[in-house]
Amino acid sequence: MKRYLTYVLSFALLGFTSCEGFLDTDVPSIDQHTFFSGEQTAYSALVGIYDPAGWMEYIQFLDWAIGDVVSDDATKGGGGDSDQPQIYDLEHFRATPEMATLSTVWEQNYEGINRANRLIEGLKDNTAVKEDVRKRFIAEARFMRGYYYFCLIKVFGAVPIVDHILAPSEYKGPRNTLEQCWTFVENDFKAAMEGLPHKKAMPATELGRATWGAAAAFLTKAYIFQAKWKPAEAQAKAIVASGDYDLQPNYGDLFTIATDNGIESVFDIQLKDFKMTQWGDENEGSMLEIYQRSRDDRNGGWGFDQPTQSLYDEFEPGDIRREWTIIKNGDVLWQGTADEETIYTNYDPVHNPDAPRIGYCKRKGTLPKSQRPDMTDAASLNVRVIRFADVLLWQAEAAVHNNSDWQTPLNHVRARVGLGESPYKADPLKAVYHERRVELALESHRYWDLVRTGRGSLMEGYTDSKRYFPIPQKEINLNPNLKQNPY
Amino acid sequence: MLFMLSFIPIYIIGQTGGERTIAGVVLDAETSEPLIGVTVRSPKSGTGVTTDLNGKFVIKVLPNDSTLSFSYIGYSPKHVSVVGKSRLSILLSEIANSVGEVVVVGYGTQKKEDLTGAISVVDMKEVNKLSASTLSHALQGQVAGVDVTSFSGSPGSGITVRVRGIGTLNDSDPLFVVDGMMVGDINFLNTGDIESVQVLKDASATAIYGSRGANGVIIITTKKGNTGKATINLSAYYGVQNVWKSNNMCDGPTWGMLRNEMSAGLGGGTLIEDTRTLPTVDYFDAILHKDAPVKNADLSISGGNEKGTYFLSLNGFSQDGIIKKTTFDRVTLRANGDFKANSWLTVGENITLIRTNHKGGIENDEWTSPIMTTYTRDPITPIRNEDGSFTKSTFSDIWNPLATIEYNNPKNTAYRVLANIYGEINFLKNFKFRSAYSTEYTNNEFSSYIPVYYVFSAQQNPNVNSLTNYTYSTYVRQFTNTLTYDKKLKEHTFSAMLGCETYAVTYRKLQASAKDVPSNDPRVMHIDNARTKDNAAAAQGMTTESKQASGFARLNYNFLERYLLTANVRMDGSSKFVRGHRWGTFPSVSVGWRITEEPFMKKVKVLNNLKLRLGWGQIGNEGSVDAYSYATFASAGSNYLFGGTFAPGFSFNSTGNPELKWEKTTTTNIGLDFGFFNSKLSGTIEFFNKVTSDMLLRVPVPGQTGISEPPFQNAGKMRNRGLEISLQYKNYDHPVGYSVGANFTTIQNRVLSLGANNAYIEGASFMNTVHLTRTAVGKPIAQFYGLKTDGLFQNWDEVHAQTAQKNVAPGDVRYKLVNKENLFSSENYTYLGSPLPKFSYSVNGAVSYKGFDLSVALQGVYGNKIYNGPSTYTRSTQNLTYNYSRDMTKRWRGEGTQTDARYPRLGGLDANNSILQSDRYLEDGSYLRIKMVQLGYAVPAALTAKAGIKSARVYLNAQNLYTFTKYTGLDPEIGMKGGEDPLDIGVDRGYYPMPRLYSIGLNVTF
Repeated sequence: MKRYLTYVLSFALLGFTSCEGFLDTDVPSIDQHTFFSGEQTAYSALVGIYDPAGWMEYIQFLDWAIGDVVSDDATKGGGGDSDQPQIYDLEHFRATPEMATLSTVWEQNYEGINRANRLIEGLKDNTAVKEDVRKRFIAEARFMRGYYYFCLIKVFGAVPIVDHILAPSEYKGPRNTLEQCWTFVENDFKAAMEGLPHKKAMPATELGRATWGAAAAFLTKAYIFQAKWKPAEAQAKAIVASGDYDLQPNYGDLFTIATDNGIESVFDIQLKDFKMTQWGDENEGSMLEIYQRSRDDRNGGWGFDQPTQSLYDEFEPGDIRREWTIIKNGDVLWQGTADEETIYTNYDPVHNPDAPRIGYCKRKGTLPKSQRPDMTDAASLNVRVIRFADVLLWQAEAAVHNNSDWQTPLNHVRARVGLGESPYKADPLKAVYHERRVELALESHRYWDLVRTGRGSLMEGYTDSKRYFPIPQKEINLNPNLKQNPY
Repeated sequence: MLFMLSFIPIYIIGQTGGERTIAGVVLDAETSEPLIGVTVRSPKSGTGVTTDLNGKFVIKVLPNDSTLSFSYIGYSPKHVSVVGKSRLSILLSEIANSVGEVVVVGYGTQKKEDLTGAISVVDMKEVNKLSASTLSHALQGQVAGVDVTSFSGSPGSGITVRVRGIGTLNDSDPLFVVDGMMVGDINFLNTGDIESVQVLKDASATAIYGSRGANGVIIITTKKGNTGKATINLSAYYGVQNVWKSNNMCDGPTWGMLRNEMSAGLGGGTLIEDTRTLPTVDYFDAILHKDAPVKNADLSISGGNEKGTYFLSLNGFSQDGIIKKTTFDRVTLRANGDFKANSWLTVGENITLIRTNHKGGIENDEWTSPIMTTYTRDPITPIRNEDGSFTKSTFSDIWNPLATIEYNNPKNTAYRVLANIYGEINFLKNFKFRSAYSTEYTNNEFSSYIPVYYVFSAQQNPNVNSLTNYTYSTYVRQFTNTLTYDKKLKEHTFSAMLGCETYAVTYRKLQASAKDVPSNDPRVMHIDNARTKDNAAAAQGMTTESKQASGFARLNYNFLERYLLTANVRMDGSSKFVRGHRWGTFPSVSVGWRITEEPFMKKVKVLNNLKLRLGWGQIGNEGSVDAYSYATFASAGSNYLFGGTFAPGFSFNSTGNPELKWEKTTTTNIGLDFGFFNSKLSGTIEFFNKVTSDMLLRVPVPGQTGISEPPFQNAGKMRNRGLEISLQYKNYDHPVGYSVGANFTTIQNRVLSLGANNAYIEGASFMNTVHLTRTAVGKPIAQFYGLKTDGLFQNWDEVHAQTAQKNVAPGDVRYKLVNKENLFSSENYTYLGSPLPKFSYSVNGAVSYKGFDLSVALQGVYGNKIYNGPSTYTRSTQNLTYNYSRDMTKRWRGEGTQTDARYPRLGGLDANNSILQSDRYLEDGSYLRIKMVQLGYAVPAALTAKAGIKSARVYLNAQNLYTFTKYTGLDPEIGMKGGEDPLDIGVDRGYYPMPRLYSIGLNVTF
């Protein structure tokens, strides 16, 4: 009988021996501990930081909705008031904390920030990655972190600064002051400039990655937004002096796929149709083209971001930039090519019942038929976030305030389109403001140009409390430490 | 069958000297099957015999003998007068809750009268009457507290089983245990192979399964061979299936008439002058597979001797769906055996091999499914053009349902092997040691091919065809060891069990897609033949593994067979957690009092069984936690591009939670079992309170964390309280025997917590824009949410009495508003009803006379709401391009003509130009279904004996014969979306309806 007991006990023991070892299973994916073990994976994480910058909600939607439509340059357009009602509400200064787009933009920019923090923490003192590579990757991460904060500050003003991976106890930090936010952003761009290559030294395969010039330009922009005119002018001059950039000889070539990452591009958000037959944030393509193309069924777009008469009238006689910016009814584009197309922008009971009686469409970024994807894909064409003309006009604006030479950079911009001295040169500030409006029209700058220069009242319904948009209610519910904007 | 009636049983009678011989046969009163081994005794003569394999007996008695007694375990004994009789046909009826009945309780068995937990035994006789593709389908309505709902009538798919309600927002599937093996589903089983099914409902019963018992345990034991001559069983049925209801859409002329009226209402002109001549194309009728066949054939051979027993079976089942190109078939092969190796060791094995084929299509999709588009497509566009190609609707972009069926044919073939071997050692008189090793391997092969086709711009696959192959395999290993000790000491009876178990499962998936296969010929449909294979993004593969190690113990004790106690404890360790967090202990205790065993109850003759049970236990929900939840993963897909070239990127979108633990369910149970009149009337009443705490939720975190997918936390709490009643009455004492049974279940669900700062969760997204349900603290799960209607505006005074609804006119829907200024204010949205029934019930009855038997089974639910998804299109007041429900002929046509908000005037513009989410689309989902009617005839044994047949029964069967319901859709039985989304229940997206089935079957035993 004893032997039975022995069998039984040994069987029973079998079950319990080294249970803990039995229960240890290998994680089949790459986790935070194993990820930054080499340059390859670190590079993958670096790519991941750029990813949210191309997503639809901000750069392909809210940026122009505020930058153009809320300003006096454009109206919403589209198919009636209820088509994209959020833009309609923004346009009429009726934004609410419940607006989904504000909530998404808040979340997505912080996702980008979190990804940057993840890389910075993963590479800090990490000898598994070569030092020069590490230095550049961290500089790129800091540049992108600065970029995402810049987007948040533009829309919401002061936001909570998150500069590391948060522990659960740190999830509910309050908003920092606006000054602290700007300092943080400036420091990120300054640090980025230290570790980033110049664009002209970069191989073509790397175009789109952060450069010294992009960081310097964002630093300038941060100064401009804060009216720090002295450092702004100095920084803009340094960019000009670097020789990294020049104006695209033909203004009309600026918004074509051919000039993506071109000589004038300081920082482009990269968007391209990879024929993935899908919409959404996974396709790397752009919705901007179909959003803005004429809604007339002969042109097949959705007809948003429609230029106003006020913008049309702002152009000086003979300024060719108007025709490269605004399409009038019946304009024939790409004449004489296989893509030749008549664009209809006026009301038509059959083809375009939603258009105004006399309407305009945005031309910048409208693509010829042969370059548009079919309805199953998003389009190609980068977004020019900062181009060299913008830098020159910052230099001019800062110089006006600093009483230094503002005409050289301004005339540089005008000369490209064959214009001489500004008709407003007696009023230098007016000359600069005019030039910015026409040169950078419908490139999502106007709203912020108006509010940062105290000209918000040009927009009907604007008051100073409307400068920053409401903090999403969802965020306040989740983090009661966030104080609402006075909107 | 009629010719069989002319045969009358004839028994041979013999007379010898002073004794006389009485001969006869003993049959089961209910099934008319012969009973083997019944003891036949003559008390006066002192003689006794037992019945043979055919239930026959011959007994010699004294000439003046007057009675014979018949006794058989589990059956009511019978005393029969034999005065003047020499041949007898005796019917014995089974005792419900019979003494000595043994119930499988998990790692062992227990006598039914000793049970203290809530355990229901399924009546396999009822189950086997149904022509069901899976066992789950057959379990519907069989057990109180077990809710079986199909979420698709497509063959071989679509069923959810919930024991005592929806316990959690996560996995609520019960654990299935087949012959001791823990498996995830039971759809592979052939119902003919099943010996018994028991459902462990409360924690005191399921705690022995520890972290896997929270959602109930269904234990299935398959048939084994019996000692004796070999038994060969052959059963087969054939049936045809059809829809039982049409989708009730307008014909061409009615559609044209309503459309003209709508156009006029919208301010337009008459669209079609002469509507009477419009043709009618019945799309719904066109997608049906009429008289779709279902076939089943089952052959088994079993037998054995003192040394061992065997059981072999082969089953083939095939079912065509009632919608074209949906099919299911299955072949199951089983073999098991038990062998006595020597005086102390028994060994055995159990092997099952299954192959299933499943072909389906797009289902339950509010946009494109064939059923949905039969609702929406206009009724005058023909299906095909003259050249045979599929048409585009002249009016809309609605897909052509026949084209959808033609071009979308995903297939799934699964191969499954379950095998286990065991050894059992009896030693030291009272000890038993059992060791079993089980393994299961399943390989699912999905294949989908989309040819190049063009119907119109919105329904096409241009340029290149595509082929996707997807393999998903599961490999399970389970090693179980138990030691049992039984002892009886005077009035004390003990049984103790100690066990340990390891369980490991490996999942592996591999997917590949390719484009441009040279032709549509099925023979060339292989990835190798594709001309384009460079789409790396289309390849996927992953292997995950989870393991569990457990120790468990049980003690059963009874004193004087009256006072009962059961205590269980299980310790589980799981690989899903990090060291230090991975062990959990799950205890339970229950007590029982057999009141009728008390001496003072002996006088009460009517009441022969009364038992009170009380139980408490705490168990875990293993399925709620995903493997590796503790780790923070980088996931691919965070891509960008540099220099115009695609750059694949990674990112950390969530964060792990190393402190995660199992969801915990605490159940208290009170049960009362009773039996009256020698258990002719028996039943059980049970109350339970089940609270799931530490429910896993992705509690939202502030956006500033940058975490796009919040980590799981043990944050939620949910309660289910309920009452279950089951009753049975049987009387087979007379030639006309009958039985009636009923089950009743009511469960009240309540969400108690959803974590900090989380008042509610939205669910059931419909048409990508709205959420139909809200799950809020203090309410039951998944309540419909939206605007409440208040009838229709009858006149301009009523219209002008309000300001919130703009541009409305008499005949338009009026909403009940809290905020009377703004229709869209969130204050106006409210709870509209529950998709969960107030109660569910089933009734079954059977009558038998001589060889005939008639059974009826009814099943129903009461008090739930259904969101009639198709009606959001078909009751539109402004859409000139879709078809309309025939019910829209009841539309408002002037003051007082209609007050029901479902049928407003045609031509009313919805203020938001969209479908307002309101109770206009909610309907009463109560139904009562005649689930089965069956008429059977057992051929008399005497007759079959001549053909060497032990028993034979033929039957006619009808299923889903009729359904009483107010629901206007195709079928009121609408479960969870995909069977797994507890926030999306009762939303009809054009559900695949349950078929009505007529079948004829035969059952022969040799």
